[in-house]
Amino acid sequence: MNSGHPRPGYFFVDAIHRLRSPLVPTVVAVFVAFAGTLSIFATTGVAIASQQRTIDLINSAEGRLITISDPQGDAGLSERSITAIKSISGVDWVLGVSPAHDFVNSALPGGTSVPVRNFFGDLPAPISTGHPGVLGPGQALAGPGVARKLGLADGVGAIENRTEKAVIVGSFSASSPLTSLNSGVIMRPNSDTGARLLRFWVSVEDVAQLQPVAAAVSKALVVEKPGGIQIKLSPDLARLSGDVVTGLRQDAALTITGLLFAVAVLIGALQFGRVASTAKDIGRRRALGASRSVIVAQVLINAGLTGLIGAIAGVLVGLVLSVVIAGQLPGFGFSAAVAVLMVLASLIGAIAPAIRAARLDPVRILRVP
Amino acid sequence: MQIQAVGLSHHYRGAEASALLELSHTFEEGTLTVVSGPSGSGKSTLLYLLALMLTPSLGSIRWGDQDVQALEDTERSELRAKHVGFVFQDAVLDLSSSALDNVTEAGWLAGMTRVESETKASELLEKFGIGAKARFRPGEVSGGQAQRIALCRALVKSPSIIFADEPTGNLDSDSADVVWRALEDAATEEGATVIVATHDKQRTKRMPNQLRLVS
Repeated sequence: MNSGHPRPGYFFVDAIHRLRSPLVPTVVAVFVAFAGTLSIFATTGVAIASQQRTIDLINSAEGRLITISDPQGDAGLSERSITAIKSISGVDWVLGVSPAHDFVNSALPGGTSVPVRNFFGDLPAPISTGHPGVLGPGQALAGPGVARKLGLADGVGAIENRTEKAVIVGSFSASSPLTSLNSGVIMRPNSDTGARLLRFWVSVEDVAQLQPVAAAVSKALVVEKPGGIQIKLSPDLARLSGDVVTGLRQDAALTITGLLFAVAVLIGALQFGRVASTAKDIGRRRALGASRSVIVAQVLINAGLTGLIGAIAGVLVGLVLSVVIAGQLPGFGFSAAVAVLMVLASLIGAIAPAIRAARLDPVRILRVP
Repeated sequence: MQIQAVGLSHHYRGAEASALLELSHTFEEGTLTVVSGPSGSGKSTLLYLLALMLTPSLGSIRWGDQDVQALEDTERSELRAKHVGFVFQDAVLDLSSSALDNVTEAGWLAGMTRVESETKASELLEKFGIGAKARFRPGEVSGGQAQRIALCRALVKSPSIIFADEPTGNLDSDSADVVWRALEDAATEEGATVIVATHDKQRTKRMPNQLRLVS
C-alpha cells in the first residue's frame, strides 16, 4: 500500500527538472539573484572592504598605544607597575625603560659614549633582534649603528660607566612606536628591585579597548607621586573607529534592505509568471494527488534554488570585484550573510506565487470545454 | 473499493443551472461502469466529484466505509494519490519530461520509491507497446501513444479506483481498443473500480454496468 505522500527524493529530482523546464524564467531568476548579490558587493561590500582597511590603519600599533611617562623624573614610577599592568585584560604588551645613562666601550675608556636604558618587561613585536633567547641580567642589545659608534668591531663586547658594567650580545631594530630607542642600547638590568622608570608603553589588543584599558592602567600604576605622571593615548582614533563601524552598519543596512526588497519583488513577479505558464502542470500534479502543501513546497524550492545559484555566482564575482576595487576582501561572514539573505529574499518573494499555485483549481485547468 | 454517491448535486459558481442534480448510484468494486449522456449532462463533473477534485454542493460520497466528501484538501489529496488513477481526454502529460518520467511521477506522488515506480512504469510501457518510446517526450509520439502513456500513468500505482474522462475521444480505433481493454482488465483482473465517462455508444453497448445521465 502506498503512503500517499511523496518521498523527499521526489522533491529533489523534481526541483532539478523544473530548473531546466521552463528554462527562461530560471535563467532570469538566477540573474536577478546574481545581480542583487553583485549590487550588494559593489556598494556595501566594497565600502566594507575600504572601511575595514581604514579600521586596520586606525588599529595600527600607534593607535593602540598608551604612553606613561615621568617627564620630571621625580614621580617615583616603579617597575612593579609592569607586572600589575600585564595582568589587565586587553593588554597586548608592556615595555618600560629607565632614564638613560652614558656608557663607553670598556676597551676604549676615552671613546664615544652612547645612551643606555634599562628595560623592563618582554621585548615586544616592534623590536626585532637577531639575538636568540631571552637576555640575562647585564646583557644588552645595541641599536642600528650604535656598536660601530662604540668601536665594537664584531658588534659585541663589554661596555661600562662609573657604576655599572654590561655586555652587548647583539643588536636590535625598533619600529614605530619605539623608534626613539634605536639611538642607544637597551639593557636587561642587573636587578629589577626598586628600579624607577622614566617611561613605559602599553599596547592594547584592540583600539576599541583603549579607553577602558587606560583607566585600568591608571589605577594599576605603582607610583609615589601620581600627580607627576603623564598618560597619553589616542582617544580620537578610538572614537573614529567606532564612528566608522556605526556609520557602516547604518549605510549597509539601508542599502542591503533596499536591494533585498527589490530582489524579492522581482522574484515574486517571475514566479507569478512561472505559475501562470505552468498552470496545466500544476493541475496535472494536483489531479495525481499532490496536495496544496506539495505545490507550495515545489514553488519555494524552485525559488530557493534559483536564489542560491544566483547568490553563489554573485558572491564569487563580488569577491573578485571587492579585491579589484577596494584591494581587500569583505570577509567570510559578510559573504555568507549576503548569500543567505538573497536566498531568503527569493523565498519571501515566492510565497505569494506559491500560495496562488496551490489554490489553482485543477478542474478548471484540466476540463476540456 | 466500492464508491457510493448519494443525492449528489453540483452547481458551478456563476453557472445558471446545476451541472449535476441529485444523483445516487453505487459503483461496485471490480466492475467497469460506463457513464454516458449528452454534452453538459455532468459526466466529467461526476468523475471530478468522485475523484475528490470537486466538493459537491449537496449529497455525500463514500469510498468503501469512509465518508470522503467533507475531508480537508490534504486528506483528499492523500486518498487520491494512494488510490486513484485518472485518464484524461487529452492525456495531460508533462511535455518537458520523457514518457518514462511522466509515468514514474504518479508513482512518486503516491509514495513509491523511484526504483519501484520506474520499474513498474517500464513494465507498463512495454506491456502497452511503447517501451521503445520510454525516453521520448510526449511531443515526439502520436496521440494514441500519448494516451497509452497516460494510461500507464494511471496504472503505475496499482490503483483501486480508476477514472477515465473520454479516454478514447481523440483516438483511432486500434488505440481505443487498447485503452478499453486495459480498463476492463483493471476491473476484472486487478479488482479496481473503473468509471469511464464516454460518448462512444457503439463501444459501450456491450458493457453490463451503465449509468446514463440526462441534461
